[in-house]
Amino acid sequence: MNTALVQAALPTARAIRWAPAVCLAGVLVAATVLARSAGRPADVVLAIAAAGLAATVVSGLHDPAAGLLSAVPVSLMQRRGLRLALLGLPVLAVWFLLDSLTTARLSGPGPLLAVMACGVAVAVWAPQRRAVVLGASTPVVLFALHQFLPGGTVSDVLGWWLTEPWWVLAAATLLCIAGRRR
Amino acid sequence: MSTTRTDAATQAPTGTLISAAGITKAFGSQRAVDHVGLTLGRGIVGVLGPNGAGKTTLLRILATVLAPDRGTLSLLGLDPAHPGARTEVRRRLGYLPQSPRLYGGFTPLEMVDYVAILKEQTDAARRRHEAVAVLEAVGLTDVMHKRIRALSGGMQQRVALASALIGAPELLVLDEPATGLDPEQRIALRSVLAETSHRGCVVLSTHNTAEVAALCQQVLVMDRGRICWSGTPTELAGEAEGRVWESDVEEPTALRSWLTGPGTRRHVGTLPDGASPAVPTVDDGYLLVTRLTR
Amino acid sequence: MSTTTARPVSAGSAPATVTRALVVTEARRMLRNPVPWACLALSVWALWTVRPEPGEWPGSSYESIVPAVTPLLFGISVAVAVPFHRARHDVAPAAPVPEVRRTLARLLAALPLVAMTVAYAVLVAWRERDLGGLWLGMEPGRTTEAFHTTAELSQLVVLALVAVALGAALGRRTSRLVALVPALFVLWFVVSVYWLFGMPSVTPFSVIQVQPVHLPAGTPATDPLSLPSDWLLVGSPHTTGGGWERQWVSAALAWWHDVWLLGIAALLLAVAWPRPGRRVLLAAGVVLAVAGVVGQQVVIP
Repeated sequence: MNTALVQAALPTARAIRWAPAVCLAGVLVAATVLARSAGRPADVVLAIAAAGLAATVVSGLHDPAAGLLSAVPVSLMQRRGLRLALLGLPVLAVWFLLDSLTTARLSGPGPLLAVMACGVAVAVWAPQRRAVVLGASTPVVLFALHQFLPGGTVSDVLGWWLTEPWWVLAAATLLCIAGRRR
Repeated sequence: MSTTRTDAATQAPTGTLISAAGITKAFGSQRAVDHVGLTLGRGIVGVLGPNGAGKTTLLRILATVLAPDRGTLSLLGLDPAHPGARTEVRRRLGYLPQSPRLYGGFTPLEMVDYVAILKEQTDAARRRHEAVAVLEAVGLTDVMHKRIRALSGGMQQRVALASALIGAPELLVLDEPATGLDPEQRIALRSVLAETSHRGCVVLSTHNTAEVAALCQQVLVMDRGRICWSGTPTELAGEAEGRVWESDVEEPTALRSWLTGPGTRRHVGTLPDGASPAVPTVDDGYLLVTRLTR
Repeated sequence: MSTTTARPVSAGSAPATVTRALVVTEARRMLRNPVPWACLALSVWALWTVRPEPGEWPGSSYESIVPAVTPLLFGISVAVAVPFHRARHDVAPAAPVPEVRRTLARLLAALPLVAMTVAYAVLVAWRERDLGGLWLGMEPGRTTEAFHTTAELSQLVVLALVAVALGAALGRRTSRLVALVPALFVLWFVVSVYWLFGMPSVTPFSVIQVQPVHLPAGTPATDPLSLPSDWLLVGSPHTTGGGWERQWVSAALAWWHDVWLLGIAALLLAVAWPRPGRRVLLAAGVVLAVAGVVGQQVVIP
């Protein structure tokens, strides 16, 4: 792995704002515990958790010092990848904790990774000024539309991140790779 | 393995460092940079121009942050349009954007060290030594362990400047670097930049003509996306030779008039009969050049 | 040298005029934000898709029509969060209009969004009547189709006030606007999972409260005829042991829940409010929230 990136991991972790993610994880754990005590399947809670955690990870791509760092040899995509890794790993841990607390049967971390990749893909391809906001909004929009649109082709497609997460993950990752030079 | 940039950095660049031809960049229908061509070698180059003239866009192109829509560009002998070459240029480049933002929770030392890592300086001891050196150069040694959010605006600007200076760049692109600096800091900045210019090219944009006169070997005046004038500061002042005068009354024929501190009026334009010309400054030359090209 | 003098404004009317001007400016900006409009469209769409289906469990459509407001609440919070986040940067700090008045203006500017929710609540009431009521029970001779009471519908409007206060609080206290998207999403959509607060002990603390509340009425062996005839009974659908549950709808519970929500709104506003007056809001919020919870506990049988 790139030595510069390894050395940049710790200061980048310090530059990331963790408080929103920690608060969000707390809310989600509380909701999952409530769902568990209600004795009902918590698929919808896990879906909210997946979209919310994914949006949190994508929002972590926001870098206040991006202007100053725009001309360094470690590219924007590499710096984004580092931030994703730093935020993604603890978020995955939270996901597995939530999964273990519920009796829901979602297909592992697939939905989380899929919707996260969709958000990152949008952040990569969107105009730079609004890239992170649009990327972070993507999981939210996908969840809300899937939840509230009536059953049908459109709703099914919007719900692929839940039903076909690995294909969605693959497609979104390809989009990210295609936009790596942006 | 420590760093990969040392070989390139230790070779003093010679000849042309920046070469651009027909560079054009548009945002929508607005051409921010319009067929700009320039050839720059070692030294300090000041870019002057009114607001919206395209200075920042040109500097972002020279810093490889923005790709031009058209034209050819060579930086340090490399074509930044190719990703590999762009990365190599960035290893030898320092860039200070117009309104740099920093991590408030970092100390100046941590911030500069972080930028150094991202400039691929992986030898920690050497990196830290250099970070301390650049912070010393910008006069921040006393506060280098304080949080950035606790520093004044001028100090934060100097942290950003130190971040641009780290890595001994051969090409330094600075967008209004003296913003927020007091006169003493401005003078200190001049000596830092003069030192950097010995090993490469410094391109800076500014609205301060006095700074240009004191610091730059070459001046580019931009207006509406084009370079409308280029030369030395003395030549820019010389443009107003015989076209500046002072009087106690308003002169309707003057291109531009303004009230000076002692209470007289200074005019730029065609010298009227009987008026005695004043000694022109870079300010006068700049005003004349931007007025005449409109 | 000549000077231009502005027309003097009488001392009494100046603050009101200034506040009105600020409210109009902020309201215009808030209403130009496409998010609340898109969310309103989604909520209306969700409302329209709720219709009683043959074979649904008792109260299914009655329950699911209320959480349809969630996207609208999210949209209101986002729209309000933007100007409050903007206020984190001092603009004209030496101007004579104090921060309290600016905050008040921003809050008043959100009133059109609350009015939007009032219209939505009226639409819900009209839609229920258009459908001929929503199925609540199956016993012959008892209430089967029902409308939400005014008390239950008032919750939607009070929720809009909570949405305004939440947007204000998070907007004022969050350093990055982009972090608000996941925060507001999770907060609003988690509380929209109304059955999380289905147990009577948790119901008073719910944010989006959905009635009927299911109260245990008897074991599977209980003879339903032995239970009071005015109880609306259902077979307990979610407990493994089965048994009988009583579906309980109460206007009093809904009003007390509104009091709890007003308390929450006041507490959230205290987070966004400048220092003078913050304590009053905190005190009022605590009193209202405690009164609301106690009132609900007392009302629930």
